[in-house]
Amino acid sequence: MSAALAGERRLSLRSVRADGRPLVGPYWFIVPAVVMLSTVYLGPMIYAMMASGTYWVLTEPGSEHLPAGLANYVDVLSSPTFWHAVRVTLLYALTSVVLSLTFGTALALLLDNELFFASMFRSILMIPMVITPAVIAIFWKLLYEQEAGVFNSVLTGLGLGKVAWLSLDRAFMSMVLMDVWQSTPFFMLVILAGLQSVDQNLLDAARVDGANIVQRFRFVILPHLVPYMVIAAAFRGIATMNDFDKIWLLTQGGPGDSTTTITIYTYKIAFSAFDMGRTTAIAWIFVCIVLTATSPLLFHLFKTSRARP
Amino acid sequence: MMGLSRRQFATSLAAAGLGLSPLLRQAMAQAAASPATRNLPRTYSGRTLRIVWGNSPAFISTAEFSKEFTAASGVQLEFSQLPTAERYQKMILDTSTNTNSFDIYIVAYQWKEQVAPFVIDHTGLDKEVAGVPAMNWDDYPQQPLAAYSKLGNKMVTIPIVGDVSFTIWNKAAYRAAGLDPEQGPATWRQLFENGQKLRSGEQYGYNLPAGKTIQTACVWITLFHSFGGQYFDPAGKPLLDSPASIAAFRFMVENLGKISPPGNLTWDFPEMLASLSTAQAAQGYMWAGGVTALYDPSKSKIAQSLGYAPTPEMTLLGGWGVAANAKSRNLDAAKLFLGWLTSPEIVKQIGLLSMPPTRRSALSDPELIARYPFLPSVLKGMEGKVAGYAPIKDSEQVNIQIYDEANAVCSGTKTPEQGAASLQERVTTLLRRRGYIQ
Repeated sequence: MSAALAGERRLSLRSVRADGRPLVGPYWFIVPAVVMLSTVYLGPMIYAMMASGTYWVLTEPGSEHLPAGLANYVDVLSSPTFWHAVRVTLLYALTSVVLSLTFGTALALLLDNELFFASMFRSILMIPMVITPAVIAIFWKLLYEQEAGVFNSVLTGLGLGKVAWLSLDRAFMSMVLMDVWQSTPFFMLVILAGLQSVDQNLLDAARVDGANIVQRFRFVILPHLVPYMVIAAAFRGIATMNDFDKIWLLTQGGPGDSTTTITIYTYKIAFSAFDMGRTTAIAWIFVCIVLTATSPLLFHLFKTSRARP
Repeated sequence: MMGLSRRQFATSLAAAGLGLSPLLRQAMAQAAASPATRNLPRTYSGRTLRIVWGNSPAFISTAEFSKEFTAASGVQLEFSQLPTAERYQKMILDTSTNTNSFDIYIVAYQWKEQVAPFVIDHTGLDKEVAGVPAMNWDDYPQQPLAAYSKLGNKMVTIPIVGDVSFTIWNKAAYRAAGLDPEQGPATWRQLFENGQKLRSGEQYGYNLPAGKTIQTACVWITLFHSFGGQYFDPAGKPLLDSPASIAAFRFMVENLGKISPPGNLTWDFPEMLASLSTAQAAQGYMWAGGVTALYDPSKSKIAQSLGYAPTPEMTLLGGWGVAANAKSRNLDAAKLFLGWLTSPEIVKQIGLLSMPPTRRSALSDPELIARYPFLPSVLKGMEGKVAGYAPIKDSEQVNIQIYDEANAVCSGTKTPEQGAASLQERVTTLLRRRGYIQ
């Protein structure tokens, strides 16, 4: 970068006038965005914060004015069912993201080669990602159905016994499997993009130095892919923690509470009990949990974006 | 034209064109000819009524049948056919948030108190809108009318489905198992023993629903009352960790669960009905509305060998009413439709289509009884000693907690004792939060 260009860049980024007073003009340009975001996000968030301090129940007219202080937060945080839901949510997100990342990477490596019909396979593999989650859940429910489901029909056709896919012991893994099927293409897509931007000269140099395929992957490709993996894992991790429709339609959080995630728990408090006070308290606690759980990834992203010139 | 009016002819032709069943065609033709339909004014022609409706066969055929109303009055009807839990959600959200996107709700009697502030008083419907047939409230048996509709002096709903819990059995399977096909189980113990004998190969002894659905709660409530349980003590404190409660949970998991098909942990009403109609389960829990569907040979393998009796030891009162939203934008049209739908002539026609009636005139109608011989049992059940849902405004919340715990016990997550203790704790918390107890 020439000295002139660097100087111009410094000029364009300055935040004070020549006389030392702050430069406010550019900030007017972001006012529409700020107003819109405040209306769409901040307003409801403040409203939710206020509602979480009341005993508001939809079926009790007037209850929205009954002050509860922190009672809803205490109630939720002291509930074993809530903490069970937190455990299920975190375990679900972790298992699903790790498995999807692994399969997505493997598929991306495979499709990065000059295969016949690679673009066709790539398109086919994208299908799960574009299907509506509700349809996915219904589809998997039919696959898992115990008496006439596809999986058990195949198993009985092979002379094996039927499996209770949605029983207490297997419902959680069945739910994870469904999500892995849906989210693997997303990882595949992101990692494929990463693979296609690997510097070919580095790979050639490693090959000349005698690195085998595993070593080339471990020492050249993988370090290059890490930022892509982190971004994909962060987005998908947050999305998985927010998953609702698929789980609700597949198991409704059961058997028992074995697949009750925080979103299912919240939904039941909101739309079965109509308890808006507790629901909004859970929503705020959930925001804190998601931010905490994803903070290492978000911090990494923040750090790397600032480190770029 | 062989005694057919032009409207009757047109109706039959339209119904045939739509591929409707002969029964539905016949009912629609009868309805078209009835004074209740012929006297409908076209004052509200062009209006559209949005209706929260059921999704079981009886509700579906009634919605189809209601095209007769549209043809006669010009009022369009949009039925949202939903499972029970979603009907409740839609109704509460629509009314309590002042959205009022629906004009009419189908209301389970345990929701009556919650919906009462948001719906009209239906007492004088026939005097308020021209063309509404006489309401004739005396035609309803007093006990179900009080349960389904009355709240103080207000008639919150108009009864539309009269229902009590039944035990169904497959007479052919009974015969094959060496049981008397004319004699249903008199006790729950006997039902279980019969179920063990009936269990063979792909055939199961019961159709226990164990999903997180109201049907699971219904089975538990019936058992709980059969075993002597009471919801509350005189001071209003819950009694849901009582021996009867534990026994009900235990009977579900250790007896009924053992003779029921696997995979029932997500079951709701459609699965229960399908299990009986496909002869998968040789005995089962069912409602009058489902029994009528089981009589249809095109949909039921047991139509010719259907045994029925009220549930052993205690029956549970079911049933539905219809109510007009007080803030409906088409209130008079809604009143007209409700008056038409619940008039004696139309109740009989939809009764023939499998919607169990609540009107005494329909329940004792020879033609209806000839088609559905169990109807006198429904009337007897509704007028006799029946169990009900928890007698509080938040009854549905108690039901939700019952089915949550029953599902946990049936899946093995909790023991019957833990399920009962948890139910007691959750209902106590609910009652405290809602101000019933200190």
